[in-house]
Amino acid sequence: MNDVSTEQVLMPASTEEVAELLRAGTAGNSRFCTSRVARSGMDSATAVQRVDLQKMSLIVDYPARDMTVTVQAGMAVSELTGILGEEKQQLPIDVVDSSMSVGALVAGDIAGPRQYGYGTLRDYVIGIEAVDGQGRVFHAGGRVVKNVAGYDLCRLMVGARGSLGILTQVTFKLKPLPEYSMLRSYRCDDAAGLEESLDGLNVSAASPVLLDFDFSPDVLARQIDKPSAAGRRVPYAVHIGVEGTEAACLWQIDELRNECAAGEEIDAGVSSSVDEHCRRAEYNWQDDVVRVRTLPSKLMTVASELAAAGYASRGHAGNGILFVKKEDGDGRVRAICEEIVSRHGGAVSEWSVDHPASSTVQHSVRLRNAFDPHSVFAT
Amino acid sequence: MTSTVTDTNNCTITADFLRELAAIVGAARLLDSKDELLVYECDGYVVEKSVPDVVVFPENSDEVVAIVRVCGKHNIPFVPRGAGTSLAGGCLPVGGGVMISLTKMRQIVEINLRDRYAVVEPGVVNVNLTRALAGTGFHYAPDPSSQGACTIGGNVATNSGGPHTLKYGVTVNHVIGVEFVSPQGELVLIGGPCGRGNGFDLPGLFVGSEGTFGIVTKVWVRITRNPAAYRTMLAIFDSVDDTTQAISNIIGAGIVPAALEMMDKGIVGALEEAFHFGFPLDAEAVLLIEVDGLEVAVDAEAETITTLCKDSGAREVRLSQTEEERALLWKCRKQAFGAIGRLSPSYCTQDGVVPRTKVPEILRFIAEVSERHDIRVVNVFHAGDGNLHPILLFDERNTEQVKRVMLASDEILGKCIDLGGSVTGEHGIGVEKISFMNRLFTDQDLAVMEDVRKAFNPDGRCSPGKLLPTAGACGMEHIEKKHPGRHAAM
Repeated sequence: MNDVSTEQVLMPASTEEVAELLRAGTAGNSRFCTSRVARSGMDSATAVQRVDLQKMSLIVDYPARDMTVTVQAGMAVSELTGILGEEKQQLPIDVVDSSMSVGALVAGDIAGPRQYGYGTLRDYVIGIEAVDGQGRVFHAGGRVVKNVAGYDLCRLMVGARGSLGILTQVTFKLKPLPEYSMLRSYRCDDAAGLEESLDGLNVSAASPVLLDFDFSPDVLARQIDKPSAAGRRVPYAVHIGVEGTEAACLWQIDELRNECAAGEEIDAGVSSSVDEHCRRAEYNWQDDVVRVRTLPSKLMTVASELAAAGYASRGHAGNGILFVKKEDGDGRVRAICEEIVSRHGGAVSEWSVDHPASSTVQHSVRLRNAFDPHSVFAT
Repeated sequence: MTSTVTDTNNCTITADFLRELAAIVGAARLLDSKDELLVYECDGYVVEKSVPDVVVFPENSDEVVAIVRVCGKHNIPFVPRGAGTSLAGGCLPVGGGVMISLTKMRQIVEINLRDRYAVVEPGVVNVNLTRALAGTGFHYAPDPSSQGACTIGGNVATNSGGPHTLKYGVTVNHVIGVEFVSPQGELVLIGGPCGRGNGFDLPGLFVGSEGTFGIVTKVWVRITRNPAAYRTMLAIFDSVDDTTQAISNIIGAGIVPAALEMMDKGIVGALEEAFHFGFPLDAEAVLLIEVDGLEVAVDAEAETITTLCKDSGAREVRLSQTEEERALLWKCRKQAFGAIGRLSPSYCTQDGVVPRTKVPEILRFIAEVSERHDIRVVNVFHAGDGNLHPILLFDERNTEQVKRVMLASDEILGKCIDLGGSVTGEHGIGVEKISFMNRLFTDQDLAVMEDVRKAFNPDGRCSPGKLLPTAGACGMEHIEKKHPGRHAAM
């Protein structure tokens, strides 16, 4: 994801240094942003200084038997994943680029295909330390998995994309790594077959961790970059991932095969595992797509209307999330999505355009003013 | 109605004010006589009491809007109340004023199985949603022990948990949208069935705000697929240390059961007397453990847990053989608080949390505190989350005993903080634990939280005196205070 244009990179080594920077910035009319959380192409009269937390990348506390970890926000997700893996534990959030910092992960509320089974970061962040736009260091939550003391600023900070404060430390609750996982893809003959499969899967006895789809009628072949292994295009496909013990996975795959009887099992081609599928950029929210969130029951209708307008889509069927590639950069795709969503419900987003800080909802504006009254955070 | 009533809590209730409220809800849905109001002087936390000046029972969001606007016009504080099951004084009308009872707003507005959500009014009793879902293959996951009485609006206010939140999460993990009346009297919608859109996670912030952000009038909740299979076990131990070791070993092995509950000898005795389940009265503690999921997987998990319990010293692990037996076991657990009346005329339930591996240490500490203060304590709690519910037994007519209960409670919660935990896992801060906020959080943390409160509730008129030590209100000094360690916070 793009960064704003910046002049200077600041690398504080402690939370107090971050606070000092921000306090000085307030006095000096400076603006700051952290990596990967601001919009691209933002123009500003004031130079933006990038705050890079790579010197704050330590594990603060990892009581593995409590299944929680507290980590400085500058640690790379890949490093955290490796450390947790040694204890057979995981933070079950999918990322395409695992060089991303933990702080950027949380601030961006990054989520991939497995959000269907595992939820999103709001379900895993149990404690935060951050510095607001006045240079105030604040904490919320704690290091225990259940805690309702004080306002839940953890969830407020998840997805705030740096507009309320710079995260300096995060505590997550963790999940055990599954022993085994399997990915299967099924081809459907048409849109109706795909919808029928998804309706059936909604009440399946199996409990998949991911439920993705492709929707690209033949007339839109040029938009789809994923032929099957045999080189054959798959216009309508559903991808299902399961995790657990080997016996549980095998049982679920059998069950799902029956429930997708309308579909023919196919070789997914590029992806052969849950892990590979979850790291594929096209099944994650990227700069080059428009994201539509709607009700799962409306998803195929939205996808069909997009196809009629000339656009293929794919996404997370179980969550009602659909991605459409922006081809021309002229805003036409977004306009079409917005028109369709206005009739069926939901929201349209582009990473590089939409930002929680631009919300005009009165409580969001008031919160923004409370956390960043001098607008030191570039968004 | 009287002509002018001056409340002892410094809120001036005028005849005009009462007339305006009555014009909104009608005389039949307004209480203002002293004997009727006495019912509302406290909730499940009986140590502190404050009588509201008026109680109103709106039936829809328009009425709530009108009530809040009238309160604003006359500068009268107001507080929402669901079933009044809060164990932390969350419904206490600090400073008097208007209590807005939401028990008449109890419609399940919509159930959408395909999109896995339901829309409910705040007065819907928690268990009634799951009952409405019976036979659909779905349920509402948060299941507080008081679910037969507590309301979903109250669950939103306190971010309630329950036994099965170990696997399924607490209320906030299941709330996707909230409609509320702001303290300024505006009807506001945050989130909804498609999530929060492109803005901040306001529903996430709202849940657990203890009524200080506004009055909930509608909630969008996720509904969850029923698991295909359950295995429910009762592990019986001859020592508390062995029991807590088993808890630690189960979690440490990376197993996340659907529920992992501990009950000690004192509570088991009361439950056996009440329900005749067949609990072993000579056991020092039992664990109620449930795994759920795929039929093909639950037996292996149950077997592993059985082995871990036996390796930790369990003398027996019983597997529920029938659905009826499982249901009775859960009935016993969820009605444990009701059985306490057999042990003592009054009780005070605490809600501390410790890291899961610190459960053995905190239980030893609780036993030591119990002995030192000569206050009997029984334990029934969510062991898998490290969320303790030590129940301190006393007679509220004995003022000296009440003081010792308060001292013992403060020591237990203080120890939870020392062990890296918190003073509340699911009951909320309310008025009960407000003095601990300065120990849990720094001055700057509290200043930021105060700013957040002001963003929603700038005049502090909505649920004054709750959650934050800075959230003072007129009349707080008149609360019947019995808590020796709380003066600084007030």
